[in-house]
Amino acid sequence: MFYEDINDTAKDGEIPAAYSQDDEFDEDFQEELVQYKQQQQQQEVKIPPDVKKFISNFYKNLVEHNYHDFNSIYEYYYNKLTEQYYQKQRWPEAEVIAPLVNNDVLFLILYKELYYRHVYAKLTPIINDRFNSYLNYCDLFNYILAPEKPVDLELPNQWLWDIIDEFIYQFQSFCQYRSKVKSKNEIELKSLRERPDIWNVHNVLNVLYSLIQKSNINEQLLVTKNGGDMIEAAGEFGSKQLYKMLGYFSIIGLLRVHCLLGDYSLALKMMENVELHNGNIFLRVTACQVTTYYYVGFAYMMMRRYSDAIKVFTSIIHSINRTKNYKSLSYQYEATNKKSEQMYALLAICITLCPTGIDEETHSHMIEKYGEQLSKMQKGDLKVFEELFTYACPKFINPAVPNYDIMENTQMKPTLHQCKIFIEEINNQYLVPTIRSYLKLYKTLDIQKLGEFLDYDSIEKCKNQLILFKHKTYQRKWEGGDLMSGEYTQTTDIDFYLKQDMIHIKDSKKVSRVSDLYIKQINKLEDMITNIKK
Amino acid sequence: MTSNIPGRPKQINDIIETVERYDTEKIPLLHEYIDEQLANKVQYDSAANLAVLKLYQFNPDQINFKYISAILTKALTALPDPEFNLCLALLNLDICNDPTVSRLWELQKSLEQCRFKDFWVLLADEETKKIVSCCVGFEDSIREFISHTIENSFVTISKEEIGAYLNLSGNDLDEYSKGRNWVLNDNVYTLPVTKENEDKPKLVKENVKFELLTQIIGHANEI
Repeated sequence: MFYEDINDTAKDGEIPAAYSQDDEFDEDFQEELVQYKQQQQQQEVKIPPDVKKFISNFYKNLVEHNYHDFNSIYEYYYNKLTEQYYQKQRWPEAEVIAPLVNNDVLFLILYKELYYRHVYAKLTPIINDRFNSYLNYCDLFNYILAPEKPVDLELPNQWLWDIIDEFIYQFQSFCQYRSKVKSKNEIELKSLRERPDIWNVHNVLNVLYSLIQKSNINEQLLVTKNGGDMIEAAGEFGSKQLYKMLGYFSIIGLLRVHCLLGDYSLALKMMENVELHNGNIFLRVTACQVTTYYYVGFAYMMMRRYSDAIKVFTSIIHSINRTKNYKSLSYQYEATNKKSEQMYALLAICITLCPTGIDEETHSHMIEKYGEQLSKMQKGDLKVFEELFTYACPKFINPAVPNYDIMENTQMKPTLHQCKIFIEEINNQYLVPTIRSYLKLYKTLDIQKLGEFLDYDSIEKCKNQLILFKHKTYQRKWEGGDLMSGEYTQTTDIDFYLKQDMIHIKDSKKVSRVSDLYIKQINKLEDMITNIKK
Repeated sequence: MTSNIPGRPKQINDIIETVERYDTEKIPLLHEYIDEQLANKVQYDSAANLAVLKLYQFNPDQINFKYISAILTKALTALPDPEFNLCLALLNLDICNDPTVSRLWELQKSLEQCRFKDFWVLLADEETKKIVSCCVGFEDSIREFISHTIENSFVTISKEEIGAYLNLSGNDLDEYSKGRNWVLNDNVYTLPVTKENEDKPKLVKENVKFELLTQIIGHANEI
């Protein structure tokens, strides 16, 4: 570790809701304080008996290392009690319940992680919550990373994912929060100035890198891919489920953080040992799978690799739709749903820029949701591109500490910047679909005539568009290996060449794709046979 | 982690591939490495240059406009890869309003929009010329990109036209065309056949990768 302290907390299934812009944080500070005090008074009243029982039971399982009940504690009882008692107020403070659990340090850390996550999800965190939650994450990760021997703790995979996910969410949220300098009062600004270490980007990255290193997860992934001795590769820490999963989730975490910072190639580089396309056991945590595909797809889109982005989006949308029916009770459902809506929007953008055939079901869903926008984008309406982009992109952040002396709210600047770059890029190529639709009709076409169709006054401009068509549809495409690699290829179904002023359109023959279908069906059948045998 | 970037010294590799890439004390070394790239037409290390921009992003007090413009200039020579956009994404709105950065962005747009003639007009501006002069062989690298794009699009093209795209004429153009195997006939060049401009039906076909079948073969084993 190269930094001393480590932080964090996590909230599940964060969603970058571009339209909502965190208005809740802008509320008057005094009002928040009053609200906070009220909440505290309320909870001093009494801890309901079933909550007491829940806490004791959770504690008992923890000290007895009785981990197999954690799944139901976490996924069922905790959510049930939240729904019953804590829809609009906080769970009891850690200090209040400490006597119930013998002041157990580890228990209180885990409890506080849930406590703050709940505040972020259901209520409005005040500055103290943000600070304390960060410090609690430091305690948690120090507890896991500092000892020389692996700690004896097991948590369900979903829980571990949620911790990493929430850690990054709160970091992102804090970056947004501190950029709103104008909306801060003196006390808040003083605290922010005094503690630049809180949610510092280096500390956040340090946690994720340290977890990856401690777990030897990259070495483990390499062994999975290329063969070798797994036990040796994993080492003492990495062979424990806790470390292995946290390591893997940290890779996905870095994918996400680097995207939020606009570093798309580094984001994909984090994934260099992860097999995305050939089945991957880590992706069994749905929220992790959705996050992974969303950010990989988004990074591809920003690297102008639309055909790769399309492939990634369609594959995850397909899988979300398949599992939709029996996941609908999970509390992650809403988050997954929102992400999937956003991915449809990104898919619509990519399909416009790189017309590609996709599977029937996804296509019809996309038309249903974004049919109108699709036809507008095909006509080159940049406003619509911008709208969809702002809706579907992650909430970008500025990692540097803002200048607290300038009374200005700058939280939207990073997103506006990324949007501007993207729109300038689109601005270069929005005629591609139009030209494609004309070329589709001909075997040869005089440039003059295309000029008339496009309402252009000069052949020169028209030729310009044709060269641009070639240039923009000539993209890198993944063929195998790590996600960054790709070979240049023409990505459209319609291709042409120019003989001086005459356009020759190439014949295009489609061979229907059947191998995927057969492979899937064979594997499905085998799974069924295995299940029946059981 | 290993990496095979041609020409990347081990010392730089050890920074880029580890968490040392976040250490501001490494900035001078990375700056030196950029100078090396500027002096060598074919050397370009995207990851190392992006790492510098990321250090600026995390530490605004370290921002050095000279190197921002050097990195952006070098990124233009990497076309058709959209390196320039990847660099922009690590900057911010304020930096992009800098006059030098705006000029480079204008250059990039003219190239990305294949308005090649406009590019040469922009480049004729003394200020702009000065900005890109730090990069050895800049014009040649851009010509390389333009030629490549034209070769992908055209089978035959008039001498006058391609000369305008490349900002070359007379002897210079003759020399250049020989180097790229363009054959002149009646003032019209015939360009070499590439995968993109050949007159062959475009086959959208499927390849089945062996890896996709491993699971099935695994099943067969169980029987």
